[in-house]
Amino acid sequence: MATTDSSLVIETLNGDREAFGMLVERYERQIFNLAFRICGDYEDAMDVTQTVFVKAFERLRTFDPSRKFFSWLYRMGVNESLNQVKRQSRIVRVEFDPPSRSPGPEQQVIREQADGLVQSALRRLGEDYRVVIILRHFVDLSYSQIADVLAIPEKTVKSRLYSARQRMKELLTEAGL
Amino acid sequence: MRIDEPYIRLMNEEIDGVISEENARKLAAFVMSDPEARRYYEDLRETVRALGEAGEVEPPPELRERIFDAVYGQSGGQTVQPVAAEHSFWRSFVPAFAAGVAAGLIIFAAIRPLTDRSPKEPGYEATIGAVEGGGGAAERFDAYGVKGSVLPVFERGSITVTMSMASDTEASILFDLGDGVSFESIRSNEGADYQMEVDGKSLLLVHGGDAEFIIRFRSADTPALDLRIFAGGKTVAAMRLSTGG
Repeated sequence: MATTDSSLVIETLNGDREAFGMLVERYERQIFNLAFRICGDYEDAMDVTQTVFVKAFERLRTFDPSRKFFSWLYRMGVNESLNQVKRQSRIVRVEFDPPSRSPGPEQQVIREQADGLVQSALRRLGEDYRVVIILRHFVDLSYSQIADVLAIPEKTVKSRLYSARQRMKELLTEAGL
Repeated sequence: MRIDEPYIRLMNEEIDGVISEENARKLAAFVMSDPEARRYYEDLRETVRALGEAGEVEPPPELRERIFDAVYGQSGGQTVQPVAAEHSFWRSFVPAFAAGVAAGLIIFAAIRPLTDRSPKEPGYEATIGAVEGGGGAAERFDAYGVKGSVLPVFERGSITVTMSMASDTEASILFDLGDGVSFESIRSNEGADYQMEVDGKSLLLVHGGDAEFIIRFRSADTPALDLRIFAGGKTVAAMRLSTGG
């Protein structure tokens, strides 16, 4: 039976580094992808991911065990990513092509093109829309999980997500996808 | 033409897989009957498909290590650093000592022929004679940024050399052991003892900073030690330690 997040949190608080390592292993990829999609920058995503786990470790004693650990962590990921975007908003950066899982050369090219268009469209979305799209489609959270992460009613999640998809549809159509 | 909000909601619920059977039937009928609604629905599905195809980005392999360094580097530092700071010289000296002696013996092989031939700028040369059982005065040296004192005490079967040193730079302390003399131990002013074996006829310590230490040797009936201290390739002091003066 898989070890629960709660028991790993307790073991981490008791000084078990391996337990913290398991939490990192379990959520590193999701937090990194969340940060990458919000920030749109590979290096920023690395910094954000590191910061999130460091802050999580530092604040672990303040974690309310009645809440879900991933919600707590993703919320930090969202906030930290948005802060990073604000910090970097006036800095012009050279785009970096991130390494992704690629099945073959042709599919790779198609996917990279699509990925670029999606990322551009995401960047043009408002903050609220962008976050909800990312949580739903890149982190694969349900309505209720998104509501928990963002601390908003599920009804708001739905309306925000549907409007965000509508806006994404327009932006991608404009881009020729 | 506008599409009614309730149908847009149903389209999204269908895409997310949370639509009820009844509503799914209702949506299918609506989409089949309205070409514009069908086009909208297909575009929406295409958008979601594009989001799904954007793919997952691979985090760099070193990220996990970076996280661990950041987390445990911080907490580890809180416990380790103050300890090291409290015992600034000797804590750092101990591991350096063993490495220094090993390296020093190699350096010694290289520098001894030169210094033996002609030390260019000898700082202090003396022969220290100590009364057996102690009671002698310490000899002082001060040259090339290294200063301190040496006090040998000869007892039956042993020589104890108490040294005080303050140096701005790294200094090498070299004992040439005479016949019948062997190294026994070194003890710092903080009370820690360090035992070591010395190969051949010499002991070399690499020193930096301020410290007092006591070095003990086993000795034969007529003991004598040659001590030389070097800094920056120059001889700070050279002295013979022997009984009887």
